[in-house]
Amino acid sequence: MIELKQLNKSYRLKQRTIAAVQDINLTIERGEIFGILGKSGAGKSTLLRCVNLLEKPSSGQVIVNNVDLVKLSPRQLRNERRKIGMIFQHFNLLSSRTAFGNIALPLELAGKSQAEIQRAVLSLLDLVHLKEHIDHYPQQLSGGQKQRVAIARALATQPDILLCDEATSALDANSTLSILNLLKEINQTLGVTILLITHELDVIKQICHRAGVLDHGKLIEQGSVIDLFAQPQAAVTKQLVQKALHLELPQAIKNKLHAERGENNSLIVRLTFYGQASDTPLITTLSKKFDVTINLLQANIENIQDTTLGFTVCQLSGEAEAIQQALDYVRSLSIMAEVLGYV
Amino acid sequence: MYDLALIPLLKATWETIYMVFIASFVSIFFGLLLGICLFTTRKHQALENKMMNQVLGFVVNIVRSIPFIILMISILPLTRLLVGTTIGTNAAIVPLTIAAIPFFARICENALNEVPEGLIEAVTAMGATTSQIISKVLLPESLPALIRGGTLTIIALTGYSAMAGVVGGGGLGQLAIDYGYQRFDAMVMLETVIVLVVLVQAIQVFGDYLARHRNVKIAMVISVLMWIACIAFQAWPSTVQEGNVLRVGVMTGWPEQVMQAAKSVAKEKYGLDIEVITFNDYVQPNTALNNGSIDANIFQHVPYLEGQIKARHYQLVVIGKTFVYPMAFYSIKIQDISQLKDKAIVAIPNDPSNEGRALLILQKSHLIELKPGVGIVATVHDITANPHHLQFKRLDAAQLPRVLKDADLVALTNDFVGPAGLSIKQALLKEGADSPYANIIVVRTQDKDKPLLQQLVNVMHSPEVIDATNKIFPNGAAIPAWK
Repeated sequence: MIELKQLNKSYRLKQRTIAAVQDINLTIERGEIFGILGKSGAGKSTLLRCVNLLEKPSSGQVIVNNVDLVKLSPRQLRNERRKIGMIFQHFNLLSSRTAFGNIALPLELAGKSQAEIQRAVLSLLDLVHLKEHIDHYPQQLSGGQKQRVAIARALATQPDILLCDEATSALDANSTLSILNLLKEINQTLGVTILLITHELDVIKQICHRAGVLDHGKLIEQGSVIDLFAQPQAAVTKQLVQKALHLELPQAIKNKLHAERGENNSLIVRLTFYGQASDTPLITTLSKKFDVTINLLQANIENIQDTTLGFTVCQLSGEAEAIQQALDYVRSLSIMAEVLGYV
Repeated sequence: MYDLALIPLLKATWETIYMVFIASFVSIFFGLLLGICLFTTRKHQALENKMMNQVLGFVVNIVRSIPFIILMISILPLTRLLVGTTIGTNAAIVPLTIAAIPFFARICENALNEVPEGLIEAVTAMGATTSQIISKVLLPESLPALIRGGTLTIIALTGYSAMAGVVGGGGLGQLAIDYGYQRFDAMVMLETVIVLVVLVQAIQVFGDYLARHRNVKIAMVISVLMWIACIAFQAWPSTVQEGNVLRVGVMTGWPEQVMQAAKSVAKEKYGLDIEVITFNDYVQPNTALNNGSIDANIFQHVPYLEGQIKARHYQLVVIGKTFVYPMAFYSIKIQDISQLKDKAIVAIPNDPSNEGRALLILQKSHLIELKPGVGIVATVHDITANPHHLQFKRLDAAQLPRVLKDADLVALTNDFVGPAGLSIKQALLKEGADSPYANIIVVRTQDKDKPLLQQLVNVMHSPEVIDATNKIFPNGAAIPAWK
């Protein structure tokens, strides 16, 4: 379990003090995959590095497995760090060592015997499906393979926690997918708590249970991933979600949109439904039950955390009263209806 | 003119390898430590310490900015403290090492700096200690760069070792300077240069190989073998017996040949072993004598010794004279001094004793006038009257014979007359027999009554030594000064 309490980190740059992360309060439960989303420069990297004290917080507490790391002596800190694995965007493998040597490194640092190291490394290579690359140097491996070695290395000391710093940002789509699946597998089979940072919402969507959004050093939103997608609160989150799910309205419709009700008595609405609500034949029901015509403009279905999340943008035309009744009905089915404007 | 056997070349090669190896080994070891300190005390590094970093950096810069020859002279007391003498091959190793440590330290610092920061971060996150970061990451990751830097250092030291001759260190560089530069033996110069080229090439190829294969084991094995060879070389029982030995300092070149004759006379008549220590600059022989590294020197004249004693407070005394080697002016452009034109170019030596000596000859011939009373320390700045508007060019003594075609009048000390293809008979102006510049035998004041040294005087005055000298300086170019 990771708890960050009142965490602040600021730098002095010449005469100015720059707050990299401010007032972070965050609890990550054991066995959870938690993602921190943010644009570049939002402070994600600093926040992640505060968790294993690569960056020393200016104030606040970093409690990992009930130990406040900030209060530890250097020696105690080194011991605690062995229980926190970390992987990086650019892998950070030693070019002077083979896959085997790289995975063996943390075990060497911990003073394990040769026999123990041999045994542990072989089973780790098995875990990340790289047995045949045991003697390869990083230069001879692809990006995805390098990250697999890095994951095996991070897991060598059997940590409870794995920190991932943009672990898939330097990889192509296929490698990204396989690395994310590997992380998921590790989380499920070994019960390792994973804290990852990314600027890609896709990553959050694929593997995270919960996520938070960091903007200008502040944690502006956090919750379950499905909530984050279905009902983003902060403007930054909305923007990110819309971009990631391609929910932007076509420009032609955007141009016609008015904030006030016009004489056409027609409006554009976005319906967001998830779980069982998506099974209802909504469109048909609406046109039958109420005196409205429905024109479907955009529809999108996402699968997040084994839950179906549907987005539909449609144009409703008819008497104002009929439209209002239709919207009330929709909301009664716990489907979110958001009026985007009038045409 | 000088038949160089294989032996001196092999000896010089070994001396170079010996000096360069020990200096490289020690300087790479300490340079590595210093380099690691420089890097790890940098900002954002494990042992960040601004004060320490700046002090170390400053010291490194200072040592690196001192010209090697100056460094060598200025650390003589340290050299003496470390190896017990300021002359010889071992004495040369000390300044070589001191010069190379900061050189390699900077190379090391730069190599470590090239290690991606992410790697240090990654192992820090694994809970590595500072020493583990250094041994498991910094050094292995920068190994090829360190090996290439080490190669560079060894080659730089090979170059520096040429200057070891100043302290009698021997080696190929000294051989090339003594025979090639001082004595105009182009063959010897060529041979030594070839050996040096081969040596440097071999070091480079081998260094590249090690860097490519990240192989330090071979380097370690070779180092161990080299140490064994060096120690064996030093510990080899010398044929010279202690007690009846005199170490005599002379200039390289012909004085060595004279001393060969002196050596055999000493051995036959007195059972005395003379160990000849050669120098190629004029300051070291007195320094070495004063600090006990040698027992006597024969290379200077009284005015020079007096100047040195005054400047450096040496406890040295003259126990005998050898020969007068008159300095003279020569020309290949004019046959008589009366043909000397106005504004003629006159080349004279630039070392303090010979410059004044040359100017005094010109004054005696009424070509110039000097400030009254300046005597032998006169320089061209002391000329008060120069009616012929002579243009003086001050050159290294060994360079003078080479400018006969370019200057109208050239002052040559006796050593260079033969090599220049001239004879003293061709001199246009020369010192008289009354010259105060007779060569002298100098010893420490406290030793002046030792019988061994009296025997040395007798040896130097023996007919064999006179014969040997006359062979080198025929036609009365060397006049016995003690008679």
